[in-house]
Amino acid sequence: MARLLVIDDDRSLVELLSDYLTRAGHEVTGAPDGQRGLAAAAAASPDLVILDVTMPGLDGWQTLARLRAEGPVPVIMLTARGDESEILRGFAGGADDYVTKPFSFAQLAARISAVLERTATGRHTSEVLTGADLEVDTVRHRVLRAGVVVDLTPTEFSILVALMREPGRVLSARQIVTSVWGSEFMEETGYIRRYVWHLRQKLEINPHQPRYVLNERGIGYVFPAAP
Amino acid sequence: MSLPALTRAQPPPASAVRLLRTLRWVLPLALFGVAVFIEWGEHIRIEGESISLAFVIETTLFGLIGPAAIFLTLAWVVRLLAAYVRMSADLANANQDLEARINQRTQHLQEATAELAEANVELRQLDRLKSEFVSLVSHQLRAPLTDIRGALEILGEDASSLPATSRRPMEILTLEADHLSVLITRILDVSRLEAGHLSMSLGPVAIEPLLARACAATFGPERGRRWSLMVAAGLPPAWADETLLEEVVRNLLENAILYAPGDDPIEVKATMGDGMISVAVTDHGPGVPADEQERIFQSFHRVGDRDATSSGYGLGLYFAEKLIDAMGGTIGVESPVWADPAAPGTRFRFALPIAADAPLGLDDDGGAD
Repeated sequence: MARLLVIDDDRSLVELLSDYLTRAGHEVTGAPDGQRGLAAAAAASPDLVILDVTMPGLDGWQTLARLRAEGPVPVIMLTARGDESEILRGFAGGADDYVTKPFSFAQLAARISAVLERTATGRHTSEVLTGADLEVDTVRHRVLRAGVVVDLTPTEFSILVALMREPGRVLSARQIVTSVWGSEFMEETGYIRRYVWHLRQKLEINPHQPRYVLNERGIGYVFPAAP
Repeated sequence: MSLPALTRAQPPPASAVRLLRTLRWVLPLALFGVAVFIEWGEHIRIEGESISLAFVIETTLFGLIGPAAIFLTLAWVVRLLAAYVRMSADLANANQDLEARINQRTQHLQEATAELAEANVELRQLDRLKSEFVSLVSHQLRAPLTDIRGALEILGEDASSLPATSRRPMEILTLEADHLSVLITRILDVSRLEAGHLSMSLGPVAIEPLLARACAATFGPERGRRWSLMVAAGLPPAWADETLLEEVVRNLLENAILYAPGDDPIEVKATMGDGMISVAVTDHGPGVPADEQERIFQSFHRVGDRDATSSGYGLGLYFAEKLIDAMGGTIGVESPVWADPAAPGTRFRFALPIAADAPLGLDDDGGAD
């Protein structure tokens, strides 16, 4: 199905992953370090690279930077749990996704399929919603306002994404609740005003004069369409 | 460090005492001389009396009374002064001694404080080293664990072709690899939390969807556990980190499954009281003895003497307590819960602050439809 390159100094993992992913129908090449990984990438032109962060010599981030200099091949990073700063750094460096060790092979295979699908449909890295000076990356779950990261909870993020997917369209509280929590909670619209208030506190420069999440009285909320 | 000088009357100088001692003699003698001179002048020279024994005695007596009185008074004053000077000297010595002792104690105290500060620094270094060691070991363990789990996944795909006698050991291997994975993850989380590296993203958290999601994930149909979820109507959102809170809830549910095996349902209930959102997870298990209830939230403490196949590691409740505390909430345990002595049950209850409401008068109607 796809040509994959696994770069990791753990030879057992490279061997096992090669076996697993080959069974899943992929063509897999392995490399034990960054330097040989770059050579293999140049030689085999993989569709996707699985890259370990912690490697002797050229580490994962340096390898990623060089891969990015060569071309737009999608990259999934194998990271350590909890290294949020490292993960953000990885995304800034152009990684497409990451899994944390110890991970399940099935989970990695699912991530590979998702990244390949996004790449095939032209959304090369991930879906990025923009509006005014906001930039929302739906895969990396990252919000930037004028280039600065805004820390939102997963639910606040989902509310913002629901509104930004349809700029200019007013969504009722019920529609937002259904989109965020599912239809079984569609009557629980009482939360929304409170959620929007806190979302504005984090997102808006002046929460009392919102620019991004506007209220249409008696109808719902809207993310304004570009003028 | 020196103490301020004590306020006290200064003793008279020694020269003043010496002067008084001299005056004690000189003044009476001078007075005696003057008295004799005047008496003699008056009686012999002016009145022309002859010197008789009676005259000598009388003159001497009259001349002696006044000086003797002055002598005695001055002697008394000198004694008093001498006593005062001695007492002042003693007091000054005592004071000096006291100050010396205070200075000595202060120095000891300073030395002890410095030693304590040094010990504190060493302890912090040790604690940091411990956290780094734990973190390093956990990181190192993850690589082989990833390999083991991966190898088991590959084997699992061929499980049907394995001999029946190998299937059960493989299931156990998979289960234990998963448990080990959870343990390592938890140890890393705890070490990050203790080192202050666990970042929280606080915000409103709608409790019902979170509890419903945690229950559905933990009591999946394959586990066959009965459970119930009751959430008070109109419960406002709590103020918490929703990812970490869900982890706490899942941990309490896993605990209930682990420590209360059997058919009785696990009950999850969310209510509001005392301005807090309260969530309780209640089981019908053997309960937690009173003497263990205080220690149950300590790290690596496990209730009772569980068998070796138990998957509890004594970190879940410790982590839960730290997380809830960091979110501004409280967590506690109650046992017994039920009247049944065979199954007194345990109830874990945590309370979290309510997310602040949007201010009144805001031009926002919540999009009421």
